[in-house]
Amino acid sequence: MKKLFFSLSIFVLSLKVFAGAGPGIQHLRVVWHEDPAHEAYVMWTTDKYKTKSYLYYDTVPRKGVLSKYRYKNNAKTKPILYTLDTRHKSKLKKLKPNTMYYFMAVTNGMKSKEYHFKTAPDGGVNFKILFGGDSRSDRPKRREINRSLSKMLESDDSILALCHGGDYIANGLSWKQWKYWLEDHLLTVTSKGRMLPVIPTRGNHELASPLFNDVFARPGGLFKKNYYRIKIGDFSIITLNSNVSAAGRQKRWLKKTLKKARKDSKWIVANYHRPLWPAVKKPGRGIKHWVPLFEKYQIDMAFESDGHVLKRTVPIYQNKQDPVKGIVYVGEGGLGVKQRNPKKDRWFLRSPGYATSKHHVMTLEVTPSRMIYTVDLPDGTVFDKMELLPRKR
Amino acid sequence: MLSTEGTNDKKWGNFLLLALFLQISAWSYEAYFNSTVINSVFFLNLNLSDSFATAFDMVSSFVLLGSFALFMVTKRAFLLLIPTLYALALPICQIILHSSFAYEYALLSNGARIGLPLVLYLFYKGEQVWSIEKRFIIRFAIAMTFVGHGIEALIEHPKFIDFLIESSSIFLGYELTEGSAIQILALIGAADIVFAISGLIKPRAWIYTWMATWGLVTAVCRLVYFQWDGVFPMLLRSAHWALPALVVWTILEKRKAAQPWKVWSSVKG
Repeated sequence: MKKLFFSLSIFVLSLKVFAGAGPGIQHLRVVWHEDPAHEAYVMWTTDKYKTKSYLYYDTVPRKGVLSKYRYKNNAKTKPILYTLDTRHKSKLKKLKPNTMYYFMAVTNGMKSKEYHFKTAPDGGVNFKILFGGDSRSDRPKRREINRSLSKMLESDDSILALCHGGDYIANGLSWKQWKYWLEDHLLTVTSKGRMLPVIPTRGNHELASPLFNDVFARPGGLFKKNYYRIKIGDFSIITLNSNVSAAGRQKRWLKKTLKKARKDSKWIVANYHRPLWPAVKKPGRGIKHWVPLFEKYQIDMAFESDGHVLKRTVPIYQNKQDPVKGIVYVGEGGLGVKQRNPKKDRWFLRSPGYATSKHHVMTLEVTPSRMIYTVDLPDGTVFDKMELLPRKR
Repeated sequence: MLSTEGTNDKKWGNFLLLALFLQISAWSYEAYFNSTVINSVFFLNLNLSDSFATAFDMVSSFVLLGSFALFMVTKRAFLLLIPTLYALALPICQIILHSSFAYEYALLSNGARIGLPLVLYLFYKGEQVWSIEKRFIIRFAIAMTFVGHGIEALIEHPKFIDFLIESSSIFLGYELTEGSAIQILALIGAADIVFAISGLIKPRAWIYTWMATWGLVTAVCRLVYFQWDGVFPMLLRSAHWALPALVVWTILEKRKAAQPWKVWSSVKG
């Protein structure tokens, strides 16, 4: 009985601590779209509509004294579809690159704590981006991994953001599940209040749910269906949407973007949900329409999710292993979802490739001379490491 | 000895059995070499182990083929309930998973695939005649599939958009734009629904001839798009052309025009 009472107390206490950013203001988060060196979205949720919402921010900590913040931004409010909650979105523009920004959200007089995040550099600085996908279905594991992300962020100042490969939750139409995900995402905040910005990707469990756009401020803009390019100095992440047509507008956009990226980026990586070289399921339609473009424009590597395993393929070029022109496809999603047994006998998973069943987060360190890819397990051990040199394009 | 009508009924029963065999082969292949939505529900929703879920897929693959083989030998109708239940379980799991486009309409879209083993069960359980009730179940199953796919087309299923773009590129040497593909899909979707409902209200040979042709074209389209990987997805859709073909035959037979040289005049009505 005592044990039960003790566990219940811990549970209630942890709910209080991690429930939100402050009384009334919940789910505070930073979202990155195309230009994270100069722009960012800060978003949060309250249960009241028709409110006055502001974001106070500065490049130095102000410890919650609103009058001291140099900048104040209006936040747009909008009721979240099918719910009684309201979403607040503040778009920060003209930010300084590679700078820590401290902010506080204020809605109808209710204040959040002060948090901070670092903008992306404009070039010339080494940085790290975390990659991973599939945080649905196993909430305790997701929370455990989020705590490990917080530790990573705490110990490594060069980590900038988490590029999430999709399948945040099991049912993209369930606001209740989104709320849990957003509450759990706050576990990635460091003890000093540093936030881990999210670079969002639509997964098949988000499907066509409008809540994805409510949570992540419609990445890709109004007309593109959640595919977009993030540019950090000479590093580009091309995020694709495997839930819409792969052959139509998205393919044309991809071709145009890769053509442009070839000229202005030293490093190009692709990121999307449905694997094109899967370790469990069948390949997505992108294998027909995207892979030839990846190969033509010689992207450096591709991040995939959905399969619930950890994999790295051999370098693939024109359906064969090619150490020179081949592209390595990694990932498959392990930010909390239960892991599957991969089909290791597929040709593209043979050594130096592999496929295994482990929760994981991937880190890509971008430096001027090389990219270093590592896979970290929740216990902090490094499972895999690979170096990539600039390609001739 | 069976009458001519009885012999024809049996012949068409065999025709549907062939279609069911193709459908079961596709299920078995998918279950054995890939993974099914049932596997995902076991693993993620029911929290069973991946090994169990995979073993279930593999066992179900053999059970489906085995039950069909046993049926062919023994002609025990109850064996056809196994593929019927399997056909029903797939869309239900799709709905539970919320992970595929238009999963809400999965039961509708799978109507013909569920209907095929079900009508065969009723056929072999009864007096082996395509009675009015059985014909209605067939038409209802076809209508479900066509309405389901019609809705999917109207809500712009991305796979259909890609099929249209790819097909135009292969056959016309010109790649349709996504906008044009969506407009064509709207027409296809509306036509699917209109044909399905009108066929249900009053069966006409030309409507079901169109449905059988369209069912075959959309099945073969998998082969065009995925090449060899499309063989089993194509076979999986055997009910989409086999069931309408049976309806055409029953209509023609009713008009005493089953002979091939009179088919066109009866289609013309």
